Amino acid sequence: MSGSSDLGDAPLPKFSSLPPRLAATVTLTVTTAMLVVALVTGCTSDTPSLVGANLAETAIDTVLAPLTIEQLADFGVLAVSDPAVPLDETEVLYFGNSDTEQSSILVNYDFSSLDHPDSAYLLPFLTIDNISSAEIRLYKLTWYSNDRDGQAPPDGDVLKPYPGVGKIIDVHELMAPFDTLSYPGAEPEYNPAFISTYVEIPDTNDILAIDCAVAPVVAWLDSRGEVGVILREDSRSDPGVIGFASKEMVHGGSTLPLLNANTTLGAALRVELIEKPAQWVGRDYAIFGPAADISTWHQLQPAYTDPADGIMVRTHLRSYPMLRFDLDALPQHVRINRANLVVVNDTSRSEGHRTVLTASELRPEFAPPGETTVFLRDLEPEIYFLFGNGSWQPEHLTEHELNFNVTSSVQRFINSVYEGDRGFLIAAGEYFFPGYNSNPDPDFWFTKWIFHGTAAAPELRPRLEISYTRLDELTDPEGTQ
Amino acid sequence: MTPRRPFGALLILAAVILLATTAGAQTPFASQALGQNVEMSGARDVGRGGWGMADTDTLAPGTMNQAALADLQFSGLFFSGFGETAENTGINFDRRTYRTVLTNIRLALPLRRAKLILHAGFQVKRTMEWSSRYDIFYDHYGETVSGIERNQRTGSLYQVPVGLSWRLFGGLALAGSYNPVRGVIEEQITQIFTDPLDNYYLSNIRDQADDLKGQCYTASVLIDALRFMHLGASYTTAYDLTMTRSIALSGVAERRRESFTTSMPAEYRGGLMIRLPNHWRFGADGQLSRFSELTGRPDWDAIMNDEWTLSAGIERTWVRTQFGRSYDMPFRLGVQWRQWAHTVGGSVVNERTISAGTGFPFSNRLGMIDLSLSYSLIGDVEENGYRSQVWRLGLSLTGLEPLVF
Repeated sequence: MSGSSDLGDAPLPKFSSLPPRLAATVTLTVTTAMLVVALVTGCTSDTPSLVGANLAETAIDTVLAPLTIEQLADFGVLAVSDPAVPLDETEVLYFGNSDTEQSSILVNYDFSSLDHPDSAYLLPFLTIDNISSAEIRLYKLTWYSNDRDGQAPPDGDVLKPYPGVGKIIDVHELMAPFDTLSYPGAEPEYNPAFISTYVEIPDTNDILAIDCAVAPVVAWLDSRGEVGVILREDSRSDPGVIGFASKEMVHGGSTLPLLNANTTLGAALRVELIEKPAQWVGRDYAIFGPAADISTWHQLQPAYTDPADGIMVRTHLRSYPMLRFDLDALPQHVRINRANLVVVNDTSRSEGHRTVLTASELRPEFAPPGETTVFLRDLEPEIYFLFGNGSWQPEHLTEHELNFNVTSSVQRFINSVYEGDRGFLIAAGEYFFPGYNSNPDPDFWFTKWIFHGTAAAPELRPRLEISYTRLDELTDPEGTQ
Repeated sequence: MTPRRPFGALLILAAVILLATTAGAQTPFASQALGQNVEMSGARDVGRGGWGMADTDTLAPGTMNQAALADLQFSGLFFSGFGETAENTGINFDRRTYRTVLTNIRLALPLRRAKLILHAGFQVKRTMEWSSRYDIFYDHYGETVSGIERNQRTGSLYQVPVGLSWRLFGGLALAGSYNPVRGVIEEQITQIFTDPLDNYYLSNIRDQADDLKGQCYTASVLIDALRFMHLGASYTTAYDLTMTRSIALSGVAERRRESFTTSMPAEYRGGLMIRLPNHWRFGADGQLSRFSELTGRPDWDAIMNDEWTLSAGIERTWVRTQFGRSYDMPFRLGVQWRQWAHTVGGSVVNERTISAGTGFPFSNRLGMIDLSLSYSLIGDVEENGYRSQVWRLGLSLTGLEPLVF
């Protein structure tokens, strides 16, 4: 019936005549109803649960599929030097012989300063009759003492037992002052006559005072010139490379025993006088700091250029390996849930202080097969940092397997982000690694990580352990874009 | 002084509330196929069981039968929506959910009063929203990796009808509309896992989105020549629903895009209304869509089912009080039985509803609010694996031109 309403045939009502009470009731009711709606709106559903889980129409086909890749496609070694900090300006002098390394300490003393008028008052006292003793003092890093508790993790004896050092140090005069640019290199010629043969008594002192014959020292003083000295390890010495503060040492507080404020770091020559100049008040010695000091590293284990033999990461004299794995076995268009670059530390060959280790992407062309020498500053723009860890110990007794998380890199590879390939550079905590810039710099500690090579047992080999997720819809080339 | 302005403000406020709300989880049965039919023309229909094909009202007509709009005397704006809470029971787990949905917006403009009406609007046909979560474990590189997996399905299928309603002559009204159909079904799987040291693996997020696009037409008729009985019917054409699918996996640049076409069935609706003494009315509607004939989704072939709905109920309409100064509120009561368009657990899903409702006029009857409260039982734990008990509060707002402008 056309034009009708729910009110039947009644004329359109005049609601202006609606009783006020009814209007209020209606208003209140409507408001309440809307409030109920608002409350319902504000309610929060229970968190999702198993209810309905079996009804889902979609699924992920393969989740956390494991894939281990051992095949290396590229391997190269970078010998990295930092022109800003040449070897003679590093903070540590390394001394001693091991199966793989040998290093002596070279020191140049410059006595020409005695010709300066300000030193004239002292010359009459620098005679053989007035010198009671002369000694070369070396400050050993605490890491090379028998007590490593300050360096090791606090959970007990987890590091290789320290063999202890009973060093016998021979001191000779060089035939000529050494040239700092010649090292690492062979020991220079020296006078076979002993200036000193110093026998360290282990566990007694981290400051080695090497008594020297006085007569040669007086001759050096009289020469007013530059004199070179070599500190060599005696063949009867306990093996092992240990470190001493060089004249550039600035990290003494954390790496050296407590020092006197007047300590002269480096291989300082200290001459004790019997009769002292009147100008000396509370002073007993004339101290001649080194003009130059350096470690010879006349024998140095070369980095492995064949990954079958092992993979070396070395600090102080930086050597960083680059590994690129063959990812052909990895399906395309998958989600990389985790990809770890796994290397297994060979503690029988590794040694040294805890170091920051990092993994970064690097073009394999930058580290071609064999060993390539590069400057540190040239490495910086080439790398893309991935992962770092500052707690690993090269001499740890139980934690041998190191995992570098390179997930994002493998995902980028899968997504064809890069033109060309990318390998993984394992390096120390250089200044350009965000959050993993180690202090002291990597040129401080001589630490040598050696990881098992590709010829080792399968569980020891370097490898990529990948966990990935796959959708059939994406790996099926049909229909994808 | 009439309370006109407060009611107008309430209309706007309620509309804003409804528009501002977002849908939430509904029932686990909606996590498959085309989800749940939530079409609702108004709370007035819902309150009396859902019938409305043969209803007429010159001031606030329903939109279930578009032909009923032909009697409209003023431009009108219609909002309908509902808020619901559901207790969803599985064999071992329960989950209570809440949500609100704005299902119907319609604007009707008399080109010629009570004769020819242009109308357009927005009508949610189906929603499919559910999420689940459970623990997952993997033996991975010799260690146990544990985590959770969350499945989330959201989406809706809606149409935007634009049409004309025409009172051809007294006793017969016709309507036709063009209905662009749009929608999206998004399914997301999230997996989060950690190793025994609680280090996280990169999580997985699988995103799938089906953009739905189609168009259909609806023809409606309303026969109200007889005072004691009205009849109404509508036919919505079958149509092709194009599904453009995109699948992505977190972290993977590759995308899969594909398109397929699903044939959606026609929909038939019919109903009657019988006037009873003392302002009572009885009505009944039926609806049928042969979703068993749906093609284009082989993965749904085994579960698609004909969808039908039977609704019946009674209503006491507005009654002027004895003193003629006010009106008794309407009272509505009804039942509905719907068989869903897909099976779950190998058995059909039945949704049985009882409902009641009432309503209030705005100032000078230039607008209305209708309320409905319904209780539905969906599914059966033994047959379907789940059961949902749903309390739903429906709300419809009608504002006519003199009220708004």
